[in-house]
Amino acid sequence: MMKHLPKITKIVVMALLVTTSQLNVAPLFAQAGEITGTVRSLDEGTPIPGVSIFFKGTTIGTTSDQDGKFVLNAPNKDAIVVFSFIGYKTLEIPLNGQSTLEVSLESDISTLSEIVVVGYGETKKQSLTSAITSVKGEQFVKSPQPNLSNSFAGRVSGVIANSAAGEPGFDNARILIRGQSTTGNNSPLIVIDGVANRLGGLERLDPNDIESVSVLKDASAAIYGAQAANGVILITTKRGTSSAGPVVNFSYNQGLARPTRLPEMADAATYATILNEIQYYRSSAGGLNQIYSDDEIEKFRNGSDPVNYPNSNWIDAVMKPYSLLDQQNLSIAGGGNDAQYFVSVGRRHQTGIYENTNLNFEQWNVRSNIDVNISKNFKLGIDLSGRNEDRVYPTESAGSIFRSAFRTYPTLPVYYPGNLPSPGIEAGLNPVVISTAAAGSDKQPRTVINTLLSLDYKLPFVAGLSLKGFYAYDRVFESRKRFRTPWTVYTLNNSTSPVTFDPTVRGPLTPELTQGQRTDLLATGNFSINYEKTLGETELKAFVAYEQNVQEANWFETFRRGFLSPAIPEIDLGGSAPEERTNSGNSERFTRRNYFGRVSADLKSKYLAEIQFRYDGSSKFMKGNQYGFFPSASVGWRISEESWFRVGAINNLKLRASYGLLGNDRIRPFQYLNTFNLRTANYVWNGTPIPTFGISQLANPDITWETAVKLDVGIETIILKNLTLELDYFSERRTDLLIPRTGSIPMVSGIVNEYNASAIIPDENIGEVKNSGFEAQVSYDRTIGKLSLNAGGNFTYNKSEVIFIDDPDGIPAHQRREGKPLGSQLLYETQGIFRDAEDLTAYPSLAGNRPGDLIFKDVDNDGVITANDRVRESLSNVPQIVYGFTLGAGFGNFDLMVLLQGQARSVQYVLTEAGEVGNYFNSWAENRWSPSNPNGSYPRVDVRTSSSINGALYRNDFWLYNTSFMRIKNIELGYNIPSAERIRLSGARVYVSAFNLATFSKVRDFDPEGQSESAQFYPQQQIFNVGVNLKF
Amino acid sequence: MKKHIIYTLVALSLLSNGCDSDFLDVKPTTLTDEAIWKDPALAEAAIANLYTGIRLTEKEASQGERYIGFGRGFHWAMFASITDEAVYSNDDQTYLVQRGQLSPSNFGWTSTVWGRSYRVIREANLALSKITETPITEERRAMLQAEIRFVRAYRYFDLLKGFGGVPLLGDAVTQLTDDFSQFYERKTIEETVDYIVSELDAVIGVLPDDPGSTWKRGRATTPAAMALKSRVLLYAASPLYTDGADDAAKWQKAADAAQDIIDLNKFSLVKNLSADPSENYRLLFVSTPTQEDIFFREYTNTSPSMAMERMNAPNGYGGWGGNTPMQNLVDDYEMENGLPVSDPASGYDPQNPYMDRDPRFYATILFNGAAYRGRQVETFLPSGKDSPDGNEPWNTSPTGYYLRKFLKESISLDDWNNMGTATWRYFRYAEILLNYAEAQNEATGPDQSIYDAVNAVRERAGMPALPAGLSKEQMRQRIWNERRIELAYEEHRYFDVRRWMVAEIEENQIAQGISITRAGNGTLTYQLKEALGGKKFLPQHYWFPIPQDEINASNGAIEQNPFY
Repeated sequence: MMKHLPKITKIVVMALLVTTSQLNVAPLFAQAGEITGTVRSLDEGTPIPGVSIFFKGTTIGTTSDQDGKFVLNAPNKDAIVVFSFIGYKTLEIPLNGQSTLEVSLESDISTLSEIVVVGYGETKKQSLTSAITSVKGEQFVKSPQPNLSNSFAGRVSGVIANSAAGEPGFDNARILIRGQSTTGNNSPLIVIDGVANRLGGLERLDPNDIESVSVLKDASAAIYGAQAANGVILITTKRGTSSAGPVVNFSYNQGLARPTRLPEMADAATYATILNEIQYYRSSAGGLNQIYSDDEIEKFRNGSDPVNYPNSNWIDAVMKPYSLLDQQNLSIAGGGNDAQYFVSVGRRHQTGIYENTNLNFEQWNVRSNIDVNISKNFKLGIDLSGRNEDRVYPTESAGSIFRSAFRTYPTLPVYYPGNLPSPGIEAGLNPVVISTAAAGSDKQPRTVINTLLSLDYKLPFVAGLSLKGFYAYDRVFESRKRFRTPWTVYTLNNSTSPVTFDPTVRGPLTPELTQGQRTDLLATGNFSINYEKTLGETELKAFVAYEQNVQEANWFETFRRGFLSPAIPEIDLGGSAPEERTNSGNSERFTRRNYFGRVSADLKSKYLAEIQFRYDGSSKFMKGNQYGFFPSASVGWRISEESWFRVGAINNLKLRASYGLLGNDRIRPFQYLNTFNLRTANYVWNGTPIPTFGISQLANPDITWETAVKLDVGIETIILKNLTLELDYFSERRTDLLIPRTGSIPMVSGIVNEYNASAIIPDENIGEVKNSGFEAQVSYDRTIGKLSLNAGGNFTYNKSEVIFIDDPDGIPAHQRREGKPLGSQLLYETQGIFRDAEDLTAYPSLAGNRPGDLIFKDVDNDGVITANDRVRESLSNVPQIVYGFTLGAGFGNFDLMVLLQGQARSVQYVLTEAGEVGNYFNSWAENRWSPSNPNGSYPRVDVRTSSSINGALYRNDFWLYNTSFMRIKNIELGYNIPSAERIRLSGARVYVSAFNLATFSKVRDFDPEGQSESAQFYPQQQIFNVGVNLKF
Repeated sequence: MKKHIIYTLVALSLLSNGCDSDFLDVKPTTLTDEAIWKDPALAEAAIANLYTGIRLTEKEASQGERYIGFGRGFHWAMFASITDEAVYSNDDQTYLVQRGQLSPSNFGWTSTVWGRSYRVIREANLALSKITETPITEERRAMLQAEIRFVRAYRYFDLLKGFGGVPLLGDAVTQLTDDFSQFYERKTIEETVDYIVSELDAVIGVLPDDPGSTWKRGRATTPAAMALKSRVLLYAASPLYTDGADDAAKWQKAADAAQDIIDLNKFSLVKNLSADPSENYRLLFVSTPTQEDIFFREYTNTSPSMAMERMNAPNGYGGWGGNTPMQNLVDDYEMENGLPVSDPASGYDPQNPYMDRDPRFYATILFNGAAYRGRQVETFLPSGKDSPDGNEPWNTSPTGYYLRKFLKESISLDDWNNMGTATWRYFRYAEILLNYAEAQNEATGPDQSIYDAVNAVRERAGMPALPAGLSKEQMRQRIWNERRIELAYEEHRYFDVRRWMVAEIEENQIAQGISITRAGNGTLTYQLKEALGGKKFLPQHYWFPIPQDEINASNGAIEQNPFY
């Protein structure tokens, strides 16, 4: 192995080996006799293995064995023995001539000695030198909801978690750590039980299995090198302990879900009037009743003829009042001296919100984390976890169903008499039909298997030296079987008397089946040499490690139509003509090889320092550009430990700072090659379709990582024992940002990107973005008699600012992205509505402008509205401010938890698909400018918003919504049933809770976390729960 | 101690496997240019790709919908719908052109031809530079080189008719790191025309005369290059291209180029599809191939264009009433007796307007009372099935007419798997005859050869010959109208009214439709209506605007078209 190590690593490894061997042969003090003893925990009396025991001021030491026993040779009879172990208060005992010591360690419950999981290790909170937020797993169990990523909002300082949609199985939040810094992939690295990029992700983990979550927000993440620039989330699952007997936990939760927010659409009479207005704008000579007479509009209003003049509320028709979800979890944890175990099994189940839908999501997950002590020094971990997600959906996507529900005219009936569905707005897409099994079903089961074998070997011949390693092998199997079947809708036939309803078959002409499979593989091997030593008053920790991994994805898909019957969805039964069958498939492979290490020193628990380095290789880049170096350093100073510091009210005061270089390699691979792609049946020769090959990418041989330089300066303090405060200033400069030069490469060069397809212009390392801001966290705990109180809050302000992003030279200053946040839009600024013909001459207007149109600001004052009048917005849909407040209270057997969460300084552009192509949000319909409502606050209606002069034709800030909000994210009230010994229950708790209970926002028509410009998405969920937790 | 050593070895061996030195050496799973050009079959498939072009806005064909070819061809909204031929019922960025809102930052799907053409030109240049490495015979290589140059010339013609003179790249294969400012200079119209024509001259005779077993139908041929040359020279002689100078020599060159194709005696007007000239004309556009075709793009049910049948059928049939013909076009169909409807002697009856019209009218346009798919079209009010009172009223025609040309009536409107299979003709013989007639008339005034050419087209359509003794001006008007009728919806009208410099008149007419009321006794009353308010043409709209992004990218060095 050594011969492949890069030079720098070799030096570090050699240096370490030399140091350790020297330590091993260092001369010992004159011995004063053998000391033996046992270390136990004060609370439970159980032996504690692994306690570090040494004589103060010397390097002589050992660790306690499996039974808590130790043997030591004392240098002299008055030596002081120091016992230290993570999670316990350090104890110093003067020997005073004793030769046996029975020691009990007091567990350290104060936050200072809390153990925080960091990259490739763990440390005490008080020794941290960087900005890491750690959250206990039980926090995530509160107020159950189906997706772990949605539990981050408000709970974890510095993390932005926006939920874009609520469809079961597709409800992942967009997680950003301290904002976004790149136009590329901004998602943080997810590390689960020490394995980076674990397949299956964090979203669908069972929160009951989680011990803790740590978020690395600053240069501390540099230990993950080229993947760390977006921050790192470390998730640690629960393990068994030798001290406790088997502990059985069971939980059951039943929830009711309903949308947080849905628009109210215009009613039939209003919409009929709108259609009249659109026709009037098209052809004014015909007047205002060209489509519907006033009599007809009245019929829509009074409901006297529901067949011909209905008033349909499509959203109500498609949606149930609520949908159901439930979760169960059973876990057993325990163990003895030789082995410890944590096993759990969980299930969660959700149904869809549509009426009569086949949408169903059911997940089963199992986990078995086992530790075996093969010998006193050799420990083996065997972790197996698996999960199966059974996902069944309608064949039309949620986007398509909500699109139909929002667009379909209120002037069309949902059903004709006899429960006969009407045709809907187009192609028979009646949303009450396409959201059910009547249009077929789309099964997307997924199986995730994570395995991890880890070992920890303390070399007995060198105290403090250990070898660690793991091998993780993950696989994901995803398959899809989408069977679309024709469905029937009915059209009104007015030519018969009485009227009849003619059935029409819509959807595919014959049933069609898409079947596919995707398998993913991740294999990671890791090996490290670790050393821990106390030299006098200095605690030293170091490791060097090697890691490599392979990631693979294989995918294929096949399609058949021409099925004779919708009964059996099997490929064999599909049509046999060539035009009835297609097949496709592909695969990719990606490898990484990394060398890294860390040295940290703690002098008198007062002066803390840490240096990390990582040397990363990636197959994404061309030979010669494959490796990058990512160092970081951090320091801490616990002022409160200084002898001169005598402020009684301040129990802890620490200053810390970190600085380092991190990378982002989440980019398309092989951008250093010229590639072509296949375009199937793109052109026809002699009546036969032929595939063609077109350029898909121009090579950039120089492509390499994005690099981030992160600085964080923080202060931590505890005041009057109860009030904890943490403040951080941070900044990040992301350079070598991978962006394509689309702005400055002219199309005349022929290097032109296709709309909505992968770009031929490769990324180049040219962009630069700055992020800076501050974070504050505060918490307060107090117990007064039977009442215990805790309150906490976190607040993050972060501003991203583009430094360079290839703005073309020719654009005016107010359009440059430089100086603005990433993702901010270029829009016309509006300043009201042309009320009448007079206004049209008073302001610069556009060809085709008429009263009722939006007035655009002539920003460059040239008297006409041109593209130069567009302005770069100063906000984007990534909030600059996020915050959360928690309040917990316990009184007797009752406990209460409230989480408020919110964001500010964010905007979202939403322009619905309305006009003749679809219905309007009522907020627009009711307030629209019209000849009869010249004071309307919204512009006039038009044929379609996508090509309206007030809409997408001149994208403008009228449609930019302020998406600041504050939410009662969680509220939970529990009652602890007094211990019931007779039924061997050691604990029982029942609770009621709510998720997204209330939202305060200016946005009325959609959830402010939505990120769809059309607002056509499965809405976020509000969930009411009842549940019980039992402990045996 | 021994045990410990064993543990150590086990630990090390478990964890240090897989340290092979080429671990980061991963083979790409996409095709690289190396692979393409070394393989003759792949190289020809890359050249075939040049016949199509990428999508640059939402309203263009994507890969799944068969990429756009030259011009626009079949699409949801057709080119006809940004002229005085049609109103597109779903807008799709057509109204902005028809309402005079076309601008450098708002050009819908018009100015996208800039980026699309240059991308193919670069790919063509790359193919030219790489085809030298492909292991094929020299004869084959010469043909492929000629084919690439034909496609490149056609792309320049797309640029020319859209923007006028444009930057010429020669054989440059630009790279990311190039200095692009060398390409910012717009050549004059004349230089651009000369380049296209010289390229075409170089491939005429090298390309095969006919498709065959090794040169499949759909690829460039010598007659295709000659037809393109004919159209380029016709445009180049027109007032917009000559700044109004009436240059007889240029017209003569255009006439000669058309005459060269006539002299091939290879093509003729299709007459044998039906004894009924109207039906014959209708069937021409749903048949492939015919003896009239010079260069075209075929579609099949596995490689279709768009669901054109569904898109354009009347709402009463379940269609979406797409590219609906304007009254302005309907009015320009002569009576069957050869007289315009405006002529009092024509016999035109405004209360029975569809009787005895040019047979091509019935094959191009669906009107109230037309027999179609088993019943008569009903656009009348009240309660006409294809009127605003019919099924899915939002899909009804804003003009009162529907399109019939190109659409296959044999397939069900629900049969999505067979829609959009009609052939799009880039060049057909009738155009060449009209090109000849127009150019020759401008060069010399009416002579017998001009009458012969125009009358051949009229005779095939079932129309009487032109009256003898027309003046040059009268002949011009008849030829212009003949192009409007014969080539309706075939992407000529937009460019014709511009190159003739009559767009300010023609495109500033009210976009009209018809409103038909049926009385209780069945009597129909016809009334004109405005089908699309705000129709407008401004002087800058003779040319497309160059996209603002392009001006910005060149820091203003690329010169915008006048008045934008």
